[in-house]
Amino acid sequence: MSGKSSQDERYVRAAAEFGAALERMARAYEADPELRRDLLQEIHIALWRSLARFDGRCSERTWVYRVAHNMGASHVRRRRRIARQQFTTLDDLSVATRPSSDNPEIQVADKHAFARLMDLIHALAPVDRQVVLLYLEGLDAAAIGEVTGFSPGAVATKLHRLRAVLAAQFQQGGRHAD
Amino acid sequence: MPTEPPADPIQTLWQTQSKEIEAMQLEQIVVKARAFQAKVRRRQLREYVAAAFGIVVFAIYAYVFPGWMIKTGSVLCILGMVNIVWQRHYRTATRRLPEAPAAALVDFHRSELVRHRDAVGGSWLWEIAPMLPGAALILLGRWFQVHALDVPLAPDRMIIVLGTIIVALTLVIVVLVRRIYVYRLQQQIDELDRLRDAGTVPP
Repeated sequence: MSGKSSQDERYVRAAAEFGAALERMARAYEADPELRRDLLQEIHIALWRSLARFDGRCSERTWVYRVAHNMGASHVRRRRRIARQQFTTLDDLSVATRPSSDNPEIQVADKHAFARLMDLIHALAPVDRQVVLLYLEGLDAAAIGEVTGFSPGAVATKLHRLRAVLAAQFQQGGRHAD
Repeated sequence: MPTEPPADPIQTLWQTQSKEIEAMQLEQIVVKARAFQAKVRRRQLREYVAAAFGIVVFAIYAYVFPGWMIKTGSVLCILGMVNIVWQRHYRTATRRLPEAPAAALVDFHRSELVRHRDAVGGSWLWEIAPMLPGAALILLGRWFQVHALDVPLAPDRMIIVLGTIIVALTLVIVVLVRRIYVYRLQQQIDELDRLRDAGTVPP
């Protein structure tokens, strides 16, 4: 198999497997629909180009997430310089419970819950945003550490804080086992 | 790499959002990659044309104005602009396509912050400094050799002094703002280092 066809095949496989996750990621990095479409295209182009250098030292999924998040973070940095936007961190977010109804499932299923979740994600600094997105994609602490390069302790601390924030913001209990 | 099932309702909420953008075909990716490269080349071409315009203006200065100071200053400004264009070409030549290394996110963040810090912290050296000798000679030439027609000497020199002060103050402010920005970037770099190296969970 030539290098070019190997690159193309890897890309097709990765796009099929992670295409939906990449779109969710683009949504988390850009709120404007047109800019989001451009960002997603840039992510796919970067992914296709990067797979020519894929060396198998990490899994394809780790590779895909790294490339996509690095593109997303670069996009946020560019946009922040233009919009002079200020970000917050997980540590800055309140864990005070929001006033709401007593039923946690109703809270999460609320039609506004997704909008609130997006608002929270868009307000976060890129580093914390990546940890949050990887958690939402269902990666465990070890996998998040592999993608981000953070130490296990740092990931555990951030996930602990994230669960507290989510529980407070959405009145639901997150899992507490890594 | 293990993936946890989305038992957390928030994870379910996130993973079940509707898809809104059609998937790109491989052929489209290749075409887009080439189109983006062409776009970058056009942007670079526009920068070269703008620099060429500046060079033409200083060449006219050197030809039209009398006095060796303004002529030499104009030639130095031309050399300064050539230097700026070369530096910009050299510094951007490695980033022709949207490319994100598959490095761990914290390493990529750090390298981007360091690159940005160095660019902001040092860019006045290669963006402004090459123009300073020529600009200084042009000002000296205006002071000692060439005066505005139909304007008394004292007001003419007052204009030169005021102009010089405004330019100097602007430069000082730009350098100070950049130093503050560089300081903040360094704080972010230090925070990333702390996150990468931290091995223990705080209580």
